Amino acid sequence: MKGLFIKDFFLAFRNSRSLLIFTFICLVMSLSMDPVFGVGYGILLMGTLALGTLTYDEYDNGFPFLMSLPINARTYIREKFLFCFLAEMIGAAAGVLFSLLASLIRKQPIVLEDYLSFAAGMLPALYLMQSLMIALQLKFGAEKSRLVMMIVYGGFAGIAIFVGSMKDQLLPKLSGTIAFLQGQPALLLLGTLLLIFLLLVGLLYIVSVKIMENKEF
Amino acid sequence: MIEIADLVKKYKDFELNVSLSIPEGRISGLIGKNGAGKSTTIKAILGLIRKDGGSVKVFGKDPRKLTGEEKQKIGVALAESGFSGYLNADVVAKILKNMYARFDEALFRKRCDEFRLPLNKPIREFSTGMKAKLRVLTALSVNAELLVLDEPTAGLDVEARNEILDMLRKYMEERPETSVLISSHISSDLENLCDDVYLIDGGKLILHEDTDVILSQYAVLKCDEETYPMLDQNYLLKTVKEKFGYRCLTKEKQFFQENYPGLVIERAGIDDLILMLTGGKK
Repeated sequence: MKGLFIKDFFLAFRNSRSLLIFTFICLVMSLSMDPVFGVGYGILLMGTLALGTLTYDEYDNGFPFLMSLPINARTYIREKFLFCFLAEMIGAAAGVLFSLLASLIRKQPIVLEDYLSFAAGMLPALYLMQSLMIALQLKFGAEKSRLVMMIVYGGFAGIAIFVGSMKDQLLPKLSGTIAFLQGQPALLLLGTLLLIFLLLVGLLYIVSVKIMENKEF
Repeated sequence: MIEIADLVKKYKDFELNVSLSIPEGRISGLIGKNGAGKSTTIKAILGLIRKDGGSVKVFGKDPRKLTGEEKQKIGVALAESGFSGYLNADVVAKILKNMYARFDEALFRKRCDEFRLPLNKPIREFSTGMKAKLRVLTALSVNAELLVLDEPTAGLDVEARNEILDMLRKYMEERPETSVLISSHISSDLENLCDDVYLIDGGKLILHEDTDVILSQYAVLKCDEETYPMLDQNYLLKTVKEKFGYRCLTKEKQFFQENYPGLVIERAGIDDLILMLTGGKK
């Protein structure tokens, strides 16, 4: 798996000039907007670069040779999920640093807890999206998967709009559940969310492995 | 090393049906026209496609079930697939070092230098010949027990082809126990390299013969329309009608030399076999 990591590292960060420009934009945005912006941007940028390695692998009929190397479908997917997670972690860490730096420059009070909790919220959400994107890209290819992802986002937006329009009817019905949740210890709620996150990522990992194992090159 | 028994792979407009066996220390050539089924056979050997029938065994196992350690014993060069063009040879060396326990990094870098392959230039900026050399060099640098080379010389000029074939010969001299399956539609490349050849056409295996036998016993007979009926038809494998008369392929060169003095008898190379067996009438 180390060989795959090296490949992906060089593919993701081969264009150091682009990375520098993105870093500069991140810093400027953190300075001009809410400093916490850098956290989300860092995670998104690194996640996008990491996911881009899948496109490089697919590009120019690269998969047949790649899969003839001493790896199998499971190793390939495991590395991809781990690489994306590590990249997003690094993005989150860099984002927190940018936010701190921006706060210092702007002479604003540094609220590290806010930046860290924002990172802790953004990281699983973006990683979940990325895991879904890995499965979709493997199934439909780089081009079609973007279209499918847009449809998925559209579906989510539709649900959100529907729920929003029904909030007057829904809220009274859910008030008991909301009150129950508010009464639970924060750790229990966080643990439940973490479990749901892990289950969803695990499910997407298994689906991705199955897609890869069924692929013909 | 490789055992294929009645392998069947069906596509919409093509069906492959082949059997072949490559024991230890043998260099086997897989020849045929473009689209004959060579690459599909190689993909089946590497477990890159699912079969619709028959069996494929590599090191005694289904290639799709080979472990990473077992796959380390296979060196692969594919015609139209390799490392991403955005990587360079230096990174390729780093990747291989971490994937193959027996990767000879010093040899890889030395050969890159010998073949004028720049280590820091992106592969996509390489010429066709340079890309082919890197693909073969990659396969040869992992100290493999089995080499699977799909069209390693396709699209290359004579000089580049010879360099690649020399590289292969040298490898085999140093490691005679290695088994090699090499596919090509340029059969002259294989005449001096392979112990035996499998000729494939339209997805079917139409000939398996030792190269020595082909070169010593096969012949192309050229005769006019009056002589043709007098030839012993039992020994003619294929006949092609031409302007001046007939071209006939036989495996009994000596028989015709002894019994038909004056008959034009030419040595049959692998190219003649392909042309005659995949294009003639009989």
